[in-house]
Amino acid sequence: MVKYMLNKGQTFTYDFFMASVIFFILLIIVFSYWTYVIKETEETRKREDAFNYLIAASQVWFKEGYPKYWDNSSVIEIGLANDRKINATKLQILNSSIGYQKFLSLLNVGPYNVFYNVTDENSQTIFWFGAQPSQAKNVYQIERVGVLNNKPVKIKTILWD
Amino acid sequence: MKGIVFSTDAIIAVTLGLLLLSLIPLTFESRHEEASFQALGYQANDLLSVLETLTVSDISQKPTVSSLIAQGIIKDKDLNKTVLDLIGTFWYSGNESIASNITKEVLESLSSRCFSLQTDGDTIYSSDCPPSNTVAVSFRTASGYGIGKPIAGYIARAWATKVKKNNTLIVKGDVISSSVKKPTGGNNKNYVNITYDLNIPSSAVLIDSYWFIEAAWTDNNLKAYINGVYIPGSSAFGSVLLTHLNSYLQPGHNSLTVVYSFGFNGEEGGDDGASHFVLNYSIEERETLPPRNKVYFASVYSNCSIQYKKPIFVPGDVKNLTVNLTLIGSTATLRLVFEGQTYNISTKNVVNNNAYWNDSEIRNALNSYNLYYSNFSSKYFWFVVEVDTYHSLEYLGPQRAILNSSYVEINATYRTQTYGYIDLTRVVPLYSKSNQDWDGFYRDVEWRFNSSGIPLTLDSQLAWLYYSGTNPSQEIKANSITLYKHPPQPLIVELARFGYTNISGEIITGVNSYSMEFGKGYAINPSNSLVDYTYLLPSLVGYGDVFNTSELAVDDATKRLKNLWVGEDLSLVDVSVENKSLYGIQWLWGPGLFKLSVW
Repeated sequence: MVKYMLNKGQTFTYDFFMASVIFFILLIIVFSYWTYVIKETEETRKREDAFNYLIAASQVWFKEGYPKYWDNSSVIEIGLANDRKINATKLQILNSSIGYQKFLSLLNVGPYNVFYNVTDENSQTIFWFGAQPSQAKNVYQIERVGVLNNKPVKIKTILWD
Repeated sequence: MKGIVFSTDAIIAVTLGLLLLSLIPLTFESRHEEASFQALGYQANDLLSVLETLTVSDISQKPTVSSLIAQGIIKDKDLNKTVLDLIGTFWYSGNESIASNITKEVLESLSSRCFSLQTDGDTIYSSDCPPSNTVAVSFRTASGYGIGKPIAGYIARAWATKVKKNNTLIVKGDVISSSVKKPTGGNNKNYVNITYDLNIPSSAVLIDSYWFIEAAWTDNNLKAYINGVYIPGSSAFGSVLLTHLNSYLQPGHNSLTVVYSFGFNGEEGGDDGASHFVLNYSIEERETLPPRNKVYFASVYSNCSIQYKKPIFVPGDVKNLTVNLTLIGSTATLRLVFEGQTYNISTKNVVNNNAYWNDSEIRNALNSYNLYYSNFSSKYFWFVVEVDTYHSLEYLGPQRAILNSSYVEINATYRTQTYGYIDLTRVVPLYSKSNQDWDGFYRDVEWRFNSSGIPLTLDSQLAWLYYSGTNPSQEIKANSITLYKHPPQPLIVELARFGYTNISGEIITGVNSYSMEFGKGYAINPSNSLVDYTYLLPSLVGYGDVFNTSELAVDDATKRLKNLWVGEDLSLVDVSVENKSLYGIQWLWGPGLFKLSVW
């Protein structure tokens, strides 16, 4: 009976020691992993936001805005199309009067910068606007296709920070 | 040992936890793929929009289009078509390679991705790329003109608001009887007074009319009246044919009365079910069919019990049946006869001159005999009403009556809808008779009729002869299709009515045959029988070709409308035409569903 109790006491001490070591090792692993996951989640959320901003920025080429035929003084919502085509007059206004900062405030793309590059079918640039990426941390881009001056054009929208 | 067990538990638990945590990046991964897919989707939609927005003139420098313009295949008026219209036009006119080349030339330089354009499952053009699991698609429905066809002009559609048609109105007699002979023999002095309602459309112009009356027993005395006026020559025994009766008739409601009484020895007076009144008339109305939801009884007055057999034919599926009788009498019994077999429903006391059977009472009673409404689909069945317990031999008693407000109400799904069509009813002429049985009765009889338009019903009222105790064969055919055959189906002793509609070739466009063959013991008198055919003709035509003037478009619509009635006794009185000036209405091909895939 005494021998039995002695054996049990030894087993308990060894159990406790082993379990504590394993527990702390695993705790460290879980904590590290959790930190990694939190960071990854944050980055993913950022990427999702960026993608949504990217789509919103590219959609500018396919909507009319408000008013339908806006100018520098009347523009409330930016949109570069009319009758399902890109309106060349609006591009001129954008370049000459609106300017990049006002455009950015109308566009509402958060902390990001925007750059547009419009090319023809032969990939020759026929229009560009915005801030070109330089020393960018993140760059997101989408290529859309529209009609400008009765010709198909490729519109590259670049979002960066 | 225990320590190892505990440690193993902890390791397994933590491993599971880590596995779960490792799934989180997979979710991130799928979100990333979703964004890529969304970007592809925008590109697919953009490319289709470009095809929808660019016109032929915008791509006139492309090699294929340029060549087609030079060849004169694409004309100046085609230059404003959209590219999608152009692709569809060539594709649907069998020029698949041209459609494919145009698609390639327009889209290939616009996308660095792989893409394909399909319509209605066929590929117009596809990039030479390996397939991918991530494919975004965009759809458009389009239709268009043919190359070189006018894209502006006038179109018209027309509908007949008033037509002049020659039509036939038929009142068919029911099988009605009441005793005219005492149980001890001899005349019981009863008069069986039967009045049918004849409702002539108020604007009808009467052409001619005749009335064939056949009594329940061949020796019955009978006298006929129209609107209470005695018809000279109508006092007869057994049967009589009265002709040229227009002077007795008036537009609107008319009453056709026959009074039957004891003749030589016959037990019952009444109608044997072969009587019919036929009125030919012309009218400037499209629709003249009576309502189909209620079938009214004739009014019958007698001083003996009455038996009334009401035939019902529904060219469709019966959903509900009710019987509402206005009566003078103590009790009323309702039965149903189908294919020669009688099924008892119930007997009711007449309360406040009314006896009513609702749908459940009728349905449940029939179901108990394994008979269902579905059996009655496009086939005759009979409601049999007895006012007081029926005897063929009776002494004169108190007055009994069935009033003409009595009806069978039918809720049905009809095979053919009649609204908006011009209905026409014609008496079908006898084609042949052979194998004579008795004077005027034949065992082989055939009618033929020409059918055009939409068939509604072929109905027949038959003057029949049956030798009691025999078991003759009966076969009825429409074209080569057997509609009824005994055996194996039951013998129908009182084959007073037979009707059918088109289900699978019973009535075809052109010449149709309706024939009957009987074995020894049964025959038909075709001279006293009546076969009629009701059919429908369309009263409108849709938009047709494009014309340079509205007058031409209207003329075309009217002509197309009249062409629907070629060979019919029908003329257009008033037509309503709607014409439209058109620019950009699309015709000739499509609509086609275009699918653009990007991967």
